[in-house]
Order: sequence, then structure tokens, then C-alpha cells
Amino acid sequence: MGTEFDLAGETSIVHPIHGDSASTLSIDGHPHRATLVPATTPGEFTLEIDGRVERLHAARHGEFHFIHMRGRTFCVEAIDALKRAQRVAAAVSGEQVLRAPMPGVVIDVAVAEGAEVQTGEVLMTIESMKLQTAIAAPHDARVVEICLAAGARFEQGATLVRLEAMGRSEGEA
Amino acid sequence: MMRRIESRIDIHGADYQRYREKNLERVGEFRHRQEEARFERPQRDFDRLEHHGKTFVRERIERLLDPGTPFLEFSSLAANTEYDGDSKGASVVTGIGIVAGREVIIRADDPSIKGGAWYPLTVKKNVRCLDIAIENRLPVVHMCDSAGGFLPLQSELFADRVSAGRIFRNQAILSKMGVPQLSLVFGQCTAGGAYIPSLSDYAIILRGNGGIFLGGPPLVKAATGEIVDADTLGGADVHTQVSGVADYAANSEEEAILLGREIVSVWQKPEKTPTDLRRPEPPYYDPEELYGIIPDDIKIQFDMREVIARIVDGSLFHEYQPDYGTTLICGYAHIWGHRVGIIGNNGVLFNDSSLKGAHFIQLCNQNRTPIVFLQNITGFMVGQEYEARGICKDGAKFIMAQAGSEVPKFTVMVNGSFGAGNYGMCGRAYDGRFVFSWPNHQIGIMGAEQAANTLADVKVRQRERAGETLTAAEIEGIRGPVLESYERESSAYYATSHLWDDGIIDPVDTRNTLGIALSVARNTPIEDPHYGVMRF
Repeated sequence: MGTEFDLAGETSIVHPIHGDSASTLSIDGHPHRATLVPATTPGEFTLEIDGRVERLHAARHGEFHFIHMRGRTFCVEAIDALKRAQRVAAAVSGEQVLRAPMPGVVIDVAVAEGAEVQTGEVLMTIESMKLQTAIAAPHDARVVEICLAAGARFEQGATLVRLEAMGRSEGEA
Repeated sequence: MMRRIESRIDIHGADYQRYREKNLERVGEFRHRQEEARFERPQRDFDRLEHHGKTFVRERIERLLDPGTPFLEFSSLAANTEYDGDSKGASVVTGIGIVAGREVIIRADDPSIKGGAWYPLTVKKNVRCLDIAIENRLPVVHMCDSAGGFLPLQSELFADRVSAGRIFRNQAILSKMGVPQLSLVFGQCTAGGAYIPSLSDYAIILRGNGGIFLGGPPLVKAATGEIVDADTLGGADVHTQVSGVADYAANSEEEAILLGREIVSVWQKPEKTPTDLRRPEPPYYDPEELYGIIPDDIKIQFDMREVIARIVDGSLFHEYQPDYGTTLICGYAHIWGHRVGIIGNNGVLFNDSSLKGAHFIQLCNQNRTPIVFLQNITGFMVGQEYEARGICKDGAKFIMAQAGSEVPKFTVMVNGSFGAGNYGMCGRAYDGRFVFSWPNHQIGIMGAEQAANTLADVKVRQRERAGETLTAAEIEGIRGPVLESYERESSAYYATSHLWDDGIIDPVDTRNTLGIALSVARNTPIEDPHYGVMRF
């Protein structure tokens, strides 16, 4: 699987090859010998790759790696292969029904029918077992129908909101 | 490989700002109360210490600890709602600190309050810190300076199973386990208190202020007529040269503390249980954002993943069964490099969420992973449908797996803890290694409003049977006081006052607190998992 690295839109798939040497990497299917040695100053490294020696500075923020090398700065995004696979699989389309997770009462309706909502936007607040729960849009969508008004009681599994999926899937917004 | 939690919090939203203001106010109040309990005493009490040539308990502890290392204090607000607030921190300071590079428990009497006399909650706090020492095989340094049991309340602190006797019993058990103890005798240890240095492997006694005796001079005179001064009866020279009750005499508190540090430095460091320790990294999301996540009203739900993201290394989390039993979040993460299983509430416990919890607890036991419980629970789901589906037996499986766990358990009271949810989620009764609470925490057999309404209903029906009808004002007259006392008794301050936890913490300190807890828990080997009979 390996990790996918994105540098200015160009992607490479990198994974370590175990067995002959821990410092052999497969980059886009080609083997390269590489070692990275930290210098005494934090963030400074010596990289030896296929016999070439480079000095570089690197910093990381989440999956973004900022690398300063040969007078230039590069921003490389490391994309987890599983996450990418799940994004593709999660694409949704068509009508979707949001059902009551438990019996309760509608406290508040936050959007009108026909409204276009974004992932995570609160559509309705329900209360059950002393707890108010927000019913949120699982993805970008248009609200087709608000099935219950504020104050209405419902059983578990009751239809609360009907949505029509719009645009891209969750996570890519 | 774990993946980063994607936060959905809008840090520019109105809710975030309102919650943040509320939680900063709550934390401000907590810090204020803590500062008061730790440092504020009437001037005459400080004068008395100075007159006797004694330093304040906080100074003693600071001198003992390795400079620049953390001190995880337990129950800093113990007894805050009792004894008219007289017994600050229950008159004793306890916690985990680093001395000569070793993790130790420090138990220090506070002679600035009624001569360090032990109130009932002082005893409870002493017993608790020695329980922590036993469970986590932590050596103990005692700083003894107590007048003995607070006599007006002696019936509440002497005879029961976890009363004063338990302190000495725990000392004996620690010794039997091979866990060393050191006593620094800075004041008088009278009656039962004399057993603290006597049951320690090492004891240093101060010339002048230090004294150890079963009966002090007044009691001796009353009992036998013998007239003897305290120093001749049980001073440093008698005990280090003649009786052998103590091992070293010191001429100053400073000398005693430095000698104590030298003694701790010769103790063998415990072997930690092996674990998959990673290089720690801070959470990707700023823990300060926790203030904007916990709502200002306990009824409002929030996503526990947002809390997890601000506690664990790199905000990285592997979520187990993400689409099943979704009101209970289960998964693996690392805290300060230690692998943990996390179980957090995202709503009421249903049949499926209870089964998921039981299953995940078994997995954690199977792969020797300590479990962190993040409580925000109103209880198990009620109603005919859920009873028919066996919510009782599914809840029982969750409790059976949790109570039967062999891996260390840690509980953080993130918000509410109500009803049987407290049991499933490793409440105090389940012998987790530590329980810590946030200042907004509320706890009780049910919510305050529900309790007040239930009690008002009962009263109304009683009166109706007697042929009376109550007016709305009369009903409110019943409901009001119940609500008030219930709210008081369900607050985090009442809970911590009674040692239902090991202390209130600022939410942003949760990660560091758990880091220390996880480290000390590794002193104790983890047994093979086994459980009671589950009802399927």
C-alpha cells in the first residue's frame, strides 16, 4: 500500500522494503537506498540517497511536511492510502433518509425545506434521556423534507429529515 | 498506523465562543479554589509554624522533589464542602512526584491546620494515596507532622474498614510487596501516628521538633503518674541511639530532606511492564480548544471524538466498529507514547453500544492495552422495547467485562456521570487506577431535575391519599429545596470533597495527567484476562 506523497499536484507512492536493508525505499516501484541522519540542531538532517548527500531542514504539521533543501522550500502532503480509499468508497448520491436514533421529542428545527446544507451542518435538535442531540447533515445536501415540527414526539427509527445528496462526498469538501 | 481525527468544530462559531467563556469561568473558579486551599491560611497559623521553626508543607515538598519535574497532586480540594471548610485539602498533601529520578508517592501532613490533626476525610485521603501506592507499586515518602486524630470526630475516623487502621495495614502490605517507604518526622507522631515511621523501612527524625511516642507526656502522666518531657520520651536521640524506632537524626528540615533524597536514590527502580512505547507527539488540535467544546448546558450533546483529538498523540485514533453502537466510541490511540484503548460516551448506552463496549474491553485485555474511560453518560436506555431486548443483560455484560478487566483502567469525568452509566464506564467503585474530573462534571443517581420531580411526585401522591390537594406553590416548595440540595451534591466540588475522584483537573492538563498515570501503572505486571459469567 505505502504512503502517497503529493508535491505540487504530482504524487509518488513510497514504502519501505524490508529484508535486505531497512534503508531501502520503493518510490513509484523503483528501489532507492536512503538514510536520514538528524543533525545536532533540531529540524536539520543529512539525507543520503543513492550515494548523493543532501543537507536539509524539515518541519511537520499534521500530514504536511515542509522541506528546505538547495535553497528552495517544498511542501509535501503525505496521504494515508486507507483514508483515500475510504473517501472514494464513501461517495454518495440520490435521496437519503435521516432516522431517529432513539425515541424522543423534537426541540428545534434549524433549516427550511429546500435549503442547501454543508457536511456537519445542524438540521434538527432532538431530546431523549435528558440529552439533546444534534441531527447533522452527513454530507453536502439539499433538504427535501423536514418530517417533524418542533414539539413533535417520535419513536426510534422515525423519519426525521429527507436529503438529496449534492456535490462531493464527505471528507473531500 | 492510525489516522487523524477530523475535527468538525467551528472555532469561530457563536456556540464555541459561548462555551469557551463558560468553561474559562469554570476553570477560573477551580484555580481560585485550589490556590486558596493550597496557600491561604490565617496569619496566626503561619506565625505559629515560624515560631516552631517549621516550614510550610508546600515548601517541604518542593525541596524534596527534583527541580523542574512535575508533581501530580491528588484531591487538592478534598474536604472543601465539609467541616465549615476548615480542613483545606483535608489537611494532608498527597501526590506523585519525582525524587532522585524515581517516581514516588508523597504523603505530607499539613501542620498549618489544627496542628495537622486528621479529620475523617484526611484518613480517607491517606488511605487512598497508599492504595495508589499498592496498585502501582510506588514507593512512599511520608512527611509526618500531625497532632493525631481530630478527637471531636473520632467515631468517624477510627474503627471502620477503611478508617485509620487501614493506613498502617496498607503500609504493612507495601512492605510485604517489597515497595520501600521513608518517613521524615518533622513533628510529633503520637498514638497511631507513631506507627507511620515505625512501619517505614527508613525513618529520619528531626532533633527538637520530631517526636515519636505511643502516648505523649500528658497521657503518660495521666496513665502512670510518670512525669517526662517529650524529647526524653521520644525525641531524635532516644530513637536513633537507644530504641531503634528511627534510623537517622537530622538537625534541620533541610538536612532531613537532603538525607531523604539520598536514601531514595539508593532504592532500586521498578521494572516497567513492556509496552509498545512510541515517540510522543503533541495532539494536532490544540487542547485549549476543549474549552469551546464542552457545552454550557449539561443537556447538550457533543462529539467525544473532539475531546479524544485534543488528548491523544498527534490526534491519531484507530476507531473500532465506527458504524455499530455509535453512542459509545471505542478505539486505540497513544498518550505520551503509551498505547491505550479509549472508551468514550457519545449518547445513551443502548444494547448495541453496551455489547460493543464489552467486546472492546475484552480486546484490550487480550492485547494488554490499558483503557481510558471518558465519561459523559446519562445512563442506559429505558423503555419497553429496550427491556424486551434485554438492555439489563447487555449492560451486565459491559459491567462484567469492565469489572473483570486485568489491564489498568483510568477514568476521566469529562461531563455528566449518571445512574448505571457510571458503573459501566468504570466509576469509582470499579477500582480504576485513577479517576480525575473536569470542573463542569456532575454526578448522581439521576439528574437533579428528574430527582426533584420524582420526589415531588411521591409527596404529592402521599398528600392526595390523605385527602389533601397541593397548590402549585406548595409543590414548588417541595421541589425547590430538593433541587437545590441535589444540585449541590451532584457538583464536581462535592464529589472531589468526598474523594469520589483523585482530584479535579483543568481539561488542558488531562493529557499530562494521564501520561503520569500511565507511566506509574506500568510498575505492576498485568495478569492473564479472565471474567465472570456473561449472560448471553
